[in-house]
Amino acid sequence: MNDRIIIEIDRVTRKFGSFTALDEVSVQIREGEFFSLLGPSGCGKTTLLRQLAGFDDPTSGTIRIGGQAMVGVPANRRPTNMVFQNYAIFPHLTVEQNVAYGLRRLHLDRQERERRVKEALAQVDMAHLGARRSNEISGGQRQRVALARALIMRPKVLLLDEPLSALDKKLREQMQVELRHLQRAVGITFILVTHDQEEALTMSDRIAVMFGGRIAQCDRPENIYQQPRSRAVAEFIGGMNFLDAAILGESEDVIEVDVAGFGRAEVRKPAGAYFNGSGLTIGARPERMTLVYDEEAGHNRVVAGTVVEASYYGDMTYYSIAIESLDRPVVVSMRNTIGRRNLQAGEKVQVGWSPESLVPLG
Amino acid sequence: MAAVTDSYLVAAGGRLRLRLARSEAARGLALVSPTFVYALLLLLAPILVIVAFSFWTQDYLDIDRTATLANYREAWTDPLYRVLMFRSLGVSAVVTLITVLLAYPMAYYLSFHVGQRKALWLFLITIPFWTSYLLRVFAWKIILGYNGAINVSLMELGIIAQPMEFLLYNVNSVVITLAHAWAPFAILPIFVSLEKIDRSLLEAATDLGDGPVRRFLRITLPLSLPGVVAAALIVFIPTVGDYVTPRLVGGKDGLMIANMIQVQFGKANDWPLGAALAVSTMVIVTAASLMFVVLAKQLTARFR
Amino acid sequence: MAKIRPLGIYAFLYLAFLYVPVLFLPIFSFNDSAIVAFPLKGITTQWYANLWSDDAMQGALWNSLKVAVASSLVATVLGICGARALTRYRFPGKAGIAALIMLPLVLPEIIIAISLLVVLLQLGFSLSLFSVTLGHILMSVPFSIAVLSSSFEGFDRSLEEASLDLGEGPAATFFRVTLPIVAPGILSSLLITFTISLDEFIVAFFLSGTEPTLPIYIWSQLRFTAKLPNVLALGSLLLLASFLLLSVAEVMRRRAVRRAGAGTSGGFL
Repeated sequence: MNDRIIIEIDRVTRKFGSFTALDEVSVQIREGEFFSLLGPSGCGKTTLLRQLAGFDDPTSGTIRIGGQAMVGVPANRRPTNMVFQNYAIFPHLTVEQNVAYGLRRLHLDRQERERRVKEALAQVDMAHLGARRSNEISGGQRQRVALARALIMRPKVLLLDEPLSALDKKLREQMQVELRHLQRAVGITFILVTHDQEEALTMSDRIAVMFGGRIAQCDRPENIYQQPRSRAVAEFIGGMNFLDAAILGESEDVIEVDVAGFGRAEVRKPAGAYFNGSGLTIGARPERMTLVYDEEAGHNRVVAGTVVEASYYGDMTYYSIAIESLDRPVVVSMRNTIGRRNLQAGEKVQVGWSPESLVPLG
Repeated sequence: MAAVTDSYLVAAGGRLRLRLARSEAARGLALVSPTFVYALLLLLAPILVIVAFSFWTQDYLDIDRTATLANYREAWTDPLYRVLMFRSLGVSAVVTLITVLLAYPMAYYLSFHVGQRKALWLFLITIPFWTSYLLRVFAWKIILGYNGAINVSLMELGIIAQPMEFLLYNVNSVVITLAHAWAPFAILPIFVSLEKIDRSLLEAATDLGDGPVRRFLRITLPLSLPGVVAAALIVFIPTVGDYVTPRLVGGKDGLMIANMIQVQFGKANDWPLGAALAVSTMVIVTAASLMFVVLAKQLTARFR
Repeated sequence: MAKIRPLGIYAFLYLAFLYVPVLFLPIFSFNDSAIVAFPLKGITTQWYANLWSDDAMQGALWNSLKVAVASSLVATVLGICGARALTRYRFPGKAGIAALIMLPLVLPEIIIAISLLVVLLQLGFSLSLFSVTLGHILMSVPFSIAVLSSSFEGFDRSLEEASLDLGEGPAATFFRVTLPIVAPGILSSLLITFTISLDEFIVAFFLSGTEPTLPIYIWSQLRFTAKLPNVLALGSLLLLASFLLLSVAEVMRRRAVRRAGAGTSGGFL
C-alpha cells in the first residue's frame, strides 16, 4: 500500500424519493489498501459500493477513481470489478467459462486466454474444478470462482459485497485469512462491505463505520476498536461497558472525570475533541479490566464487586460483575490461562482497572 | 432491502444515460407498452364497442345509433332469453360445484401425499386440458350416446334392457361434459394454496391435541379457502359463456346463452341484441362472482 | 412400500376419469365401421389412410399451421416484453395493466370472439386468417407471460450486473447471459402458444373468412356422420401431436427454471 489516493468520494449523497441512503459521504482510499465499509443493514454501505461499481449514480457529489471522474461512466467501462454477495456465477457456463467471461472483449489469442484462466484459477485454488458448473460446486468454491473471475480482469479496485456472509463460520474464518493474503499478493485495492465487525477488524487496513448513510468513524482497526468516537461505534464493535461520568475538568488531550462506581481518573481523549457539558458516557472494554482474586498482587485501582454470572467461551470467560452503586453489572473478560480458576456466581472479587481502560464517548 | 432499481440499463447507457428517464417507471412502462397497447386495442376497445352496440338498434344492415334500452328490455323480459340465462347460470353453478368438490381431494392428495413427483402429476393432470376442446366434447358424445359406451356396457352387463335416452342431448350431458373439461383448471389453484400452508402449522395443531379430521377442518380447509374461491371463479366465469358443449351435446334442452348470442351474430343478424345479451351475461356473472367472494369471506370469518 | 390410501385410489380414479373419455377417440379411429358407436367391429387403418387424400382437410391443416406459427411468434415476443416488464420493474398502474393483459384467461371466449368480430368488421377489415391470428395472439399472450414470468422471476438480476461489471455492454449481456438462460422458457412459450392456436375453435369460428382452420374443419365434419371416423383419425393425430408438443414444452420449462435458479445463490447447499 502506498500513499497515492486511488478513490476520492466527495460529498456523495443518494436519495430515493424522501429516503436518504447516503448523506454527504466523503472518504479517500489509498492504492493497495484493504478498506472495509462496516455497518448494520440499511446503513448505506452497499449503496456506496454500487456507486463505485457504476450500478447507481449519486444524487449529488463526485466520485473519482484513479483521478478520473466516474459519475456518468457506465459500469462496464469502469476500472473496477465486483464480487457479488450471491456470487452471480453464470449457471449456464462452466467454471472456466465463467472466469474467462470478461476476457472476450480483449480479443486474446487462445493460448494467452487459457494461460490467464489457469493462472486465475490457481490463484484461488480452483485449478482442478474448471469443467464443473455452478450447481456442482459448493458455496465456498463458488465464491472463489467469483473472485477469480473478477481478478483476472486486473482491475484497479476490487469491490466485495459481503462475500463471506453466506459461508459457515469455519469457512468464513479460513476465507478471511485467504482474502487478506490474496490482497497482499495481488497488491490491488480491495473495498469490502460487511456487517460483521470481526471480519472488518481481521482483514482491513482501514475501516469506515457507517450508520444511517453517514461515516461515523474512519480509521485503522485498532484505533476504531480502542478509541471509538461515539457510543454507536463503540456499541457496534466489540463488547463495551457504558458508564456514566461527571466532567471535572478538560484540557487539550486529557479529560478529568468522576466515573460512577469507579472513581476519579484522567482519561486521554482525541486531540481537539471537546466534550462540553457536565456529564458524558465512558466506555470500558471487558478485556481492558481485570479481576483480582486468590491472592494475586494488588492492582493500581480496584473496585469491589460480586460475580453475577459467568459465560464460558472456551478460551475466555466473560464475567458479569455487580458493583455497588451501579445499577447494571459490568462485564469483565478473563483469559482462561493455566492455573486460573473459574469463578462462581456469588463470589466476591475486585475489579482492577486503570485510566487506560477508559474511553470517552460523548 | 435496498430499493431495487434496474441497474442493467442504468449501468450501461452511455451518453444518453443521463438524459434518459433514469426512472425505473418510465422504462417499465415502455417495455410493457407493446403488449399493453395490443390488449387495449384488441380487447378493451372492442369490449367497449360491444357495450356501445348494446344501446343501438339494427335494421337489416343499417345500424341506428340512437341510444336505447330496447335491447336490454328484450334480453331481460323475453322468456326464451331468461330461460337460457338462468339455465346457463345454473349449469355453471352446478358444474363449478361438482368440479371443485371433486378437485379438492385430488389437489389434497397431490400436495400432501405425493413426494417427488408433483410436477409429473400436475403435468399429467393438465395435459388433457391443452388438447382440442372440440374433440373432448365430441368424445363425451360417444360415451353418452344411444349406442355409446355407457349404454352398451350397461346393456352387456345386463343392468339395463334398453339404452338410456336421458344421457345425451340435454342439460345433464352439458353438465357432465363441462365438469370433465374444466376439472384440471380447478385443481391448480387449490393445489397452490394447499402447498402454501406451512406444514409446521399442522404439526403444531397435532401437538396441541387435534386429530386429523379436526386439524383438517380447523387449519387446512380455512387456509386453503382462497384457492377454492379462485378455482370456483376460474371455472364459473368461462363456463357461463360456453358455446361448443351445449351445441354438441345439449340438444334442444341444453342450449345456453352463448348459443343465442352466436345466433344474433349469425343468422338472426341482430348485433345490438347479441351485444346486449353478452353484456348482460357479463354483468350477471360479475355480480354473481362478487357475491360469491363476499359470501366466502364471511364464511371464513365465522370459522374463526 | 406405500400403503394404499383411499385417497390414492381416488386420485387414480380421478386421473382415469380425465383420460378415459379422451381415449375413446383413438379407439374408434381404428374401428372398422363407419358408425361411431359400440360394438367395436375390428381394426383398420383405413380412416387414417383417407386423410392423405382429403384435400380440404389438408388445406385446413395448412391454414392452421400458418396461423399457429404467426400467432406463437408474436405472442411470445409480446410475452417476453410483458413478462420482463411485470417481473423486473415497478411502474404506476402496473396492477391494472397486468389485469388487462391477463384478462383473456378468465373471459368467456365468446365475448372475445364477438367483440373482435364487431370491431374488425366496423373498421372495414374482412375476415380472414389474419383476423384469426389477431384473436389467437390476444388469447395466447397471457399464457406466454405466465410461462416466461417464472423464467424471469427465477433469474438472478445480479447475473446481468456481473456481466456488465466484467465489461460487456447491454446487447452483449443480453445475448451472452439473459437469452441462454431464458431460452428454454422462450421455447416453452412458443410451443404452448402454438398448441393453443392449433386447438382453438370458437374465436376462429367467428373470425375466419373463407379459409377454415383445422378445428373449424373438424366442426363442419361433425355433422356428416359418414365422415366421422376420418375426423376421429384426424383428432387422434392432433391429440398425439399436442401431447408431444406439450411434453417438450414442459421439459423445456423445467430446464429453464433449473438453469436460472440453480447455482446462482451462493451459500448452503
